[in-house]
Amino acid sequence: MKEIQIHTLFGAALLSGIAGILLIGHGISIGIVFLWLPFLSAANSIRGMAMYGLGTGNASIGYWGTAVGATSAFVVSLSVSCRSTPLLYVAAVVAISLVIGLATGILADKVIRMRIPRIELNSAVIAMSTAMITAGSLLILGSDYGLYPFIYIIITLAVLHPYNASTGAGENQKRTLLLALVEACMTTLVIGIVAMLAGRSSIPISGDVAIVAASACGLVIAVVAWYRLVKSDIYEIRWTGYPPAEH
Amino acid sequence: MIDPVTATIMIIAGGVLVGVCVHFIPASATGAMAAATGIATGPSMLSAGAGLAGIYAAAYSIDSGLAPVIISGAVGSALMLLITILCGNIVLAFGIGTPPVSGQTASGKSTFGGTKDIITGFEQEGYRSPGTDGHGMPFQTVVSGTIGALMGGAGGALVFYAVYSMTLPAISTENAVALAGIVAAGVFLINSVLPAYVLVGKTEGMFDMKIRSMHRTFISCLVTSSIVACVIYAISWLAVSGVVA
Repeated sequence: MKEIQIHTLFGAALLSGIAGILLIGHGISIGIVFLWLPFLSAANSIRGMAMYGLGTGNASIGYWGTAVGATSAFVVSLSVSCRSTPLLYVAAVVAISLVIGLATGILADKVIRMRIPRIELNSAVIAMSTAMITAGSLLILGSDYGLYPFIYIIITLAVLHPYNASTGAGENQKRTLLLALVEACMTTLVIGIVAMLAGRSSIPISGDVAIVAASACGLVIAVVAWYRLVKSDIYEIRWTGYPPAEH
Repeated sequence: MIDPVTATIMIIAGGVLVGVCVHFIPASATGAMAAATGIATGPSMLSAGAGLAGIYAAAYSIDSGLAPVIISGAVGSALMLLITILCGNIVLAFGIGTPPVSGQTASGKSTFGGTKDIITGFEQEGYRSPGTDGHGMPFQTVVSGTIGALMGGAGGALVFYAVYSMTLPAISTENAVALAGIVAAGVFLINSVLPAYVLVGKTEGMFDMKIRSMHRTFISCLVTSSIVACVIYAISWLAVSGVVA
């Protein structure tokens, strides 16, 4: 089966992420569903880097990529308001994370001499995707500095885990990305719940409820689709009730 | 408080220290199976853990000035690492039954040559289980790890204090501490993963031949930290100047 290319998926994620941030910025909280695609893009690029045997774990790449993206978003929020000028905010965040992600990728390729194809592209994509997710989360949760570590960790886990969980002999892009979708829905669900409980959300409570409802629906659909795909992929080794000779 | 230009230089210095410290901390994922010398996790994650412990420790002394912050960070980080090494050695010695042995030293490939622990003089050859690259953390790797953790903790604390100083004029003290903490953690994670590419998932610290590749880490972390520091400087300057969009 033909795999989705990194730039195709990231192009879609970039447009989707900006659309989502603009919608949330204008008070349409349901726009968070457009942030699911950046989760897929980041998880796909972690797959693209980690499948070559980095010498570091998948977890490290997830932590590193999110550190670039989230740190960019957190620092920029100091000077550019994510609520009053969301487009300027997301442009600044994406540009800064692009520079840092690309620079790190080039250094890993040229100075450290990692021979991983397209490491600089994957580094930049992880950084920019996580930056957009962080920017969207900050729009929903508001600039509450106490919640920054929570935002960082929850995004990190959602982007590093899909490939980490799916890796092995039968790993394929479709199943990894579907698991990334499951975790994206789970993450936005938790963000919605925290926004409701914290009571410091910059959007009304009905908006938080809409995030929780949309994420829960997405989670159920994604889990069912992922479970079916897992069953379909393992049919050869699944016990059917018949010995192999009669099967 | 320190001026923004000095703070920017401190962020760069802190980032480089964080990157270099990873070379000193003994870590190996296969250490979990007692198949290699070092703490049983990836070098970058272990260094990040030690660094975060250092940042927490540094945060407690933020009002006391630069020197106490750096010392707190370094000591907090070293304490975390030493406790991890102690617990790891107890589990490996009494749970699995393997003595702490340096695999590189046992095979005569350590930085200083010979088959003895460079500090205690204990013979390493003959104690290594067949098919493994050592196990546990012998004394020389403990010393190396402590030096690395002190460097990493000091580096994290430097970044923490620098970001705190730069952002304090723009936001309240509580928010400046929170923002500086998460940004310092971010700088730590960005710089601690780069050396992992050089170390290829395993190092015994300063007694491992991989320490000779440290210049690559140094250059990479210097460039990365400089970009990050310039971004933080520019945005803090905009925020402090009141140029808020």
